[in-house]
Amino acid sequence: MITANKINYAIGDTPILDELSVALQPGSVTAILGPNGAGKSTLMKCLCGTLQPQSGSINIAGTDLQTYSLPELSRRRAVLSQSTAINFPFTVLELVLMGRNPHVNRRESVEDNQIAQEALDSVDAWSLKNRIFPTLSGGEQQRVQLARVLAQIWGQKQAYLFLDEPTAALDLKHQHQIFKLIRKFSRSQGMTVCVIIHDPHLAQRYCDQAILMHNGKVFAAGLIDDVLSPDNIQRVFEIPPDWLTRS
Amino acid sequence: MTPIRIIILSLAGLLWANTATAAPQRVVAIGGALTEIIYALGAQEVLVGNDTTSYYPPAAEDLPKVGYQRALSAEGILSLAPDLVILSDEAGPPAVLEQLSSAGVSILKVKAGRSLSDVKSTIQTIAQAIDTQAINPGQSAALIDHINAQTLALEDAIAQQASPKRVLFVLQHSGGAPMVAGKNTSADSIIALSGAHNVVTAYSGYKPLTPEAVMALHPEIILVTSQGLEQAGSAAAIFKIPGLALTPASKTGGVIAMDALLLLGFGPRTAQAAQQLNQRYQEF
Amino acid sequence: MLARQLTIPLPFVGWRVSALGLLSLMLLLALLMAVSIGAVYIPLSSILVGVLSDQQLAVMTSIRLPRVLLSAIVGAALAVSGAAMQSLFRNPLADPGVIGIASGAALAVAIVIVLAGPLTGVLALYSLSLAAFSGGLVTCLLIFRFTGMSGTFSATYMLLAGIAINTVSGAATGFLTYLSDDQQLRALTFWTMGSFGGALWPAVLVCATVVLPATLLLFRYARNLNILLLGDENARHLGVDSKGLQRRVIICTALTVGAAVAVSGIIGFVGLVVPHLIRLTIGPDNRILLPASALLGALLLVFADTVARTIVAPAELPVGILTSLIGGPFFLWLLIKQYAGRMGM
Repeated sequence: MITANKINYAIGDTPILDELSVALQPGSVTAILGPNGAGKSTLMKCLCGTLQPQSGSINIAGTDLQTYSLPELSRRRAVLSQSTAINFPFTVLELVLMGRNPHVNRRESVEDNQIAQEALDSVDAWSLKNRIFPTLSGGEQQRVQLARVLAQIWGQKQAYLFLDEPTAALDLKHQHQIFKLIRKFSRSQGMTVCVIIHDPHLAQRYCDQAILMHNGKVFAAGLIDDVLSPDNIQRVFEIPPDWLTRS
Repeated sequence: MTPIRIIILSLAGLLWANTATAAPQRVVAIGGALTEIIYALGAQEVLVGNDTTSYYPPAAEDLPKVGYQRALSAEGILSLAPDLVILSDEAGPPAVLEQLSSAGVSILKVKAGRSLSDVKSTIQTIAQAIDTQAINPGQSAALIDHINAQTLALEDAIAQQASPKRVLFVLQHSGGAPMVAGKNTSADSIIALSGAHNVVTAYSGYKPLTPEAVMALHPEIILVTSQGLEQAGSAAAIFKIPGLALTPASKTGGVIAMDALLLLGFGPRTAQAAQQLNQRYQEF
Repeated sequence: MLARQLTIPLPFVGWRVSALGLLSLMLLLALLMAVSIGAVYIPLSSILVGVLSDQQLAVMTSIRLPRVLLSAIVGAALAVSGAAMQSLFRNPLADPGVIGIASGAALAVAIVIVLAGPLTGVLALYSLSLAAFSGGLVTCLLIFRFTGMSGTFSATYMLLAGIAINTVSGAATGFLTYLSDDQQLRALTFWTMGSFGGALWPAVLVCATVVLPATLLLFRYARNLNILLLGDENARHLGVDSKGLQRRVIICTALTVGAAVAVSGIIGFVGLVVPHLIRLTIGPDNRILLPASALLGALLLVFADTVARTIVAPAELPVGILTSLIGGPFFLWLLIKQYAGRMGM
């Protein structure tokens, strides 16, 4: 369980997050939605510890986020964020193995290798394992990065997974495959999953909870179907009311 | 000087005056040895400027400087309004010399000296060009006679020596292998002139000599410029250069330092420099 | 879930370890070759048997051995710090020269040669080394301040600060060159070209005591350097204190490069070319890349210096000229290849 209590985050005089409180439930997938500039990514960065809110508190499993050490956190919490270009000829498997870093002492064990390959298989990328990562297509790279993130918390109970637009570069088949996988993990391992997503249909289909953001505040939060009502969508995204029904 | 020679010289002078314009009144000398020659000829009153390598006699330091002889600039020289620029074939860059001539300045280019006969012919050329006969009659002949007398004394001294000393000239040392004079260098010439033997015969010019070769060549005396010695710090520091510690020179502390212009300049004091060197060889 | 057969490509698979072994063997052979070749003839057989004349012994102990060892240490130092820099900047074209360490060292040396009065005693012999070393370190501290001011420790800021420092110290060195006389000019030029001609035992010892610990530390950071390639933020998510790691790597690199430049002058392209060759042949994993680069860097410079001091004997070439002659075209080839790769050619 992760809770944020009245957090504020501002850049200069511009507030990005404004007295914001949310709670993420274990065993469920929470979608963060909202127009560009609503503060989705900032919220996620605060929740996973990359950014420190200027006021308010964030608790993970009842303990203040700030008291966790970096290695401690990295064994239970994985984040897929916008990735940096990799200019070196690492193979796909080597890259996914990097996800095992928090669990590795000196060098990767046979078990780490096995986990890395299972993670690759789970995102339908096992066949890529000996390819050179920078030569892959954008969608393939995205899936491999996801496998790396999954490998990080593979088999961990009560783990936390943060995903910033995980399926942005993927085709329909892989979008659905990945979300099915994420939902399965959250159910079977009691994983807390939080995902920034733009497509309300995809969110409605695979997520349990939703946080709809608008101008740095929570516009609505709760069960996904309640939050993504046509009325809410229309008011937050400023689109015609018949949009949902027509598509 | 016989009356006939005076007549011939005056005729030559007349001829010069007729063919060329009047004797130059404002001269810029570029190159330490050339400046020195003009002073030695007693013609310094026509000098209006020189370059940074002209530091002897001390009075030469007080003249306006036009920069370093290999990196001249035309405007700096023209600002002194010279009617004659005397320089050696080491001066440059060529484009600047071109600019000077097209600006109407006469240029006298003399060969950079490598021997006493070079020095003597340079003295004559300069004496003629600035017509020292008019300023200080007989001085050029006297200067050459003086050099000849020094040369004779030097040759006598060399003839009485047992065997020539083995000399290594170290131009400079900045961490890597020492820069050492090979053949066809002014250092090589002055070593030969002073009755010694330059141990480096395998190459021409100044090049880094590999430390093992420094040792293998068995130099008895290390010759340096005082400027180079100053940069190294001390004679002891010279022997810290790899390879030099293992030479015969190191055992006797055989380091001779001499001012760069005096040693390598090939100007009016070169015979004197060779004499001094020859005397100092006997210390080791 | 996983029905397919597993393959186990651990980072330390057999052939990679063999590659390290092969490199070590080649380095050993190169060292033997280097101590047996020189202006003074000493046959390898008498070295191995240990029967040497007094003169040969003197050459061996006071000239050749320190020189060969120093070239190996400097080669390893330059190659390892190059490899570490490239991981730090996530850029295969980064090099200790890029962030301005070498040019900062060169400026300090120019200041000592041109402006400082003549020094005496031990200082005279080591003044240039000290200057180079402190120049490199000061440059590093400056880059720290610049990058620190931006709030985050970003590689981009560091790269930009490096470019600015390169420009400024290049201009300052140029100005000092302009001020210098004949003697100083020559000292400066030859120092910049790099040479092991000045190798003495104290230099070997000083260099080794700085380079060895710093290199071993870099080896320890190797796995985290891999992780750092994923980006500062991603590395933090994986439990790596990116900022601290970057700071430690910079300091180690500054120390190794500073020590190397101090004893040999500027020897270009080793830090760029060697890690590249290793990546092409063995792979990019820093745990193998760093030690392999150290071995190949040492091998390359021992070889290059042997060529430099024998090819025009009894004169010698500045070894920096040799490495740049080989490294320059290689660098161009690399750029062209990268461009071609990007254009799908």
